[in-house]
Amino acid sequence: MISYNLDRFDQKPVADFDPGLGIADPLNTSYRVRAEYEDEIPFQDRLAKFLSDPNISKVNSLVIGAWSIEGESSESVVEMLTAASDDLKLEALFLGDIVSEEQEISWIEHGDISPLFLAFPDLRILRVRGSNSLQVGTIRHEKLEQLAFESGGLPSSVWLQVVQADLPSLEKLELWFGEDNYGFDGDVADLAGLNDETRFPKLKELGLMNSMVQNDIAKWIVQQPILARLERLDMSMGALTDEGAKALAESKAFSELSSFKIHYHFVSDEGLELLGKTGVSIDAAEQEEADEDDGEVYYYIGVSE
Amino acid sequence: MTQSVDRDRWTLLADLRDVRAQSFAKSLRERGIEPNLIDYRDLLRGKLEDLADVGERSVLRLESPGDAVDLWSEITNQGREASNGHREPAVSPPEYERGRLAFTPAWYRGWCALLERVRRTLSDRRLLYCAHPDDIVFSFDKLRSQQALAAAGVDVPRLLGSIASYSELREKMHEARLARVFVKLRHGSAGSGVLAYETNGSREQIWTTIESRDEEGELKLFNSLKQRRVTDLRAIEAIVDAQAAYGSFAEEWVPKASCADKRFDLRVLIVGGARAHTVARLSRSPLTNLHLFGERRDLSDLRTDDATNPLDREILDQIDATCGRVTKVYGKSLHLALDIAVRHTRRSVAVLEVNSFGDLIHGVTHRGLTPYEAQIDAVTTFDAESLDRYVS
Repeated sequence: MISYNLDRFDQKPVADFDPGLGIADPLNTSYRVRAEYEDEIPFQDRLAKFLSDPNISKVNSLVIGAWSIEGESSESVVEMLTAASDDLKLEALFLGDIVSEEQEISWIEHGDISPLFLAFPDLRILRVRGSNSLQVGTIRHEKLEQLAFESGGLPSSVWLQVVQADLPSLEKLELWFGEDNYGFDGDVADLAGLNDETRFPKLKELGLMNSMVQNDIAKWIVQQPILARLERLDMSMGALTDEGAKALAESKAFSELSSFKIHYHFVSDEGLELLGKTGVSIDAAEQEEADEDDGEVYYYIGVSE
Repeated sequence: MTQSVDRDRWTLLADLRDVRAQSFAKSLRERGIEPNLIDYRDLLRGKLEDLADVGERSVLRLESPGDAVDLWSEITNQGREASNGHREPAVSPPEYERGRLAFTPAWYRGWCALLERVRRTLSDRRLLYCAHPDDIVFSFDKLRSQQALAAAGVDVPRLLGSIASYSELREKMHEARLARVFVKLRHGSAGSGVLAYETNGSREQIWTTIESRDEEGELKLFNSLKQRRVTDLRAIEAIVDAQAAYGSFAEEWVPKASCADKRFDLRVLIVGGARAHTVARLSRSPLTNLHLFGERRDLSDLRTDDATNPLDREILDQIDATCGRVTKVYGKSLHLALDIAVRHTRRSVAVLEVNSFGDLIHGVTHRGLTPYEAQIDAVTTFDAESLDRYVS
């Protein structure tokens, strides 16, 4: 469950855009534009007002919150942003700062977001929440440093495009795979594209997260050249158990990571001890226990719904 | 100049077998007051003479009818007799079943008729009411109550009005351009019979405590303490339709603020026009107001995570202002309980419902007093003029 909206984005405090006040502090604020329940101004009018503000050219980071209280897709948001790209020079964009109480992650509808990559050549950070009907096109971007897709069920049509992308500046990648009930599909082995040093020469921080097949991912990554190039690995929110933890702990390349994060996991104390012995800095908050019912064991990932 | 209220003369009109009446009587006795006790059952049998003992300018506390099966059945029967041929879901003895949703229109009419009898019989007594029958009747029609609050400038969720069927629900949501709503029993209480419905055009689901059982072609609804999620379209349709037969209405699903990774709403008690006990109820699922036995937190401890951002002064001021506006609508009662949502933006609040009998909260004190003690204390210590506002 996603409980909280962002407080900070791109190292700046997030503030909701108030059409009455306009863009007052573009350099030190990440403005968030979202459908607000407190007044009657529709989201589209709000965003239009934001984009036509005299200070819009000074804005470089932007958070888009809930754009619809009736379940519409982000397509018109993407259109409005790209149409404003003569003035708007985005460096950081969060598309979908939406909490569970507004809309569950797997109910968030998108469209084709590939125009964003073309319209904003200075983009350093892109984070997208939700993946229904999401299309990303062929991803090629010179300056993108951080890319994240948060999902309760990420389809291979998205994550395959990502692992085949051409992102020479990319340092940090986060993929939330989710579960097949909500749209995840594909074979973990197809993540192999991430090994290509020519397309991801700077990748240091990898998040392969929120997956039902977290153990498979663990067993896969210890076989991959990419692991040796990484500094930080994040496998939070998934159904990682001792099986996956053991594979990681036995890997030489894993032991050379500087940090490993599993916020929300199913690894036992013994499993954590194995991981601890590798010398890697382990952040393993939220140790969960599987549910048992009639001899069957059930694991739940951090965010699906 | 009128004579003042006889502060030490109390009558409890209640299900005397219920824990509420027993513990309120105990609180009175601890203050040296021996209450006059009248059971609803006697009034339902027509023994109105019991009310003769209710002294002029004394204090009357009407209690919740509770959930005793015999009381529910008798109230429902009397309401059905007055139904003038309305179509009713069949809920009455001997076929009354434990846990079956009992907040039917017939129950509501029977309950209103009982309260009306009490009101009429006592209309010349000039009593101080903890909860006035008029206010109680009003709070048991949640749709009317919310409409009146909105008209009085109280922030409530956007109302979609009464719902006759699943297809009407979808139509009204479409018109209101809302993808998420709560559908509630018009005459229900707290979380009983509530469902949270959401769609994104292609998918639909509900969260609910309603359990439905198809018995010989009749869909019966039961209330459970366990929430479940229903995603099957036909099941959703059947539950919404069956709920509508009990009388339901829909309102906007106000996104609630979270604390400790759970959603919360507030149960706020008002005594003598001022906010008293205020507790947050936390829940992992959309239905936060199931009962008061779940995880609770003090108002001062509603942080967005473990370190920062308790509710700020501005929100507390809004809650107090909201209480003030609600008491203008529910002006005849010394005591009221409100369920209030703080929106996820933490910038505004919305009243989810008003409850005349919302003061059964264990283990919570305000200025050292339990909810029951706070009301007794108000009657004992308020000046005559303040008390007179609740005399009618």
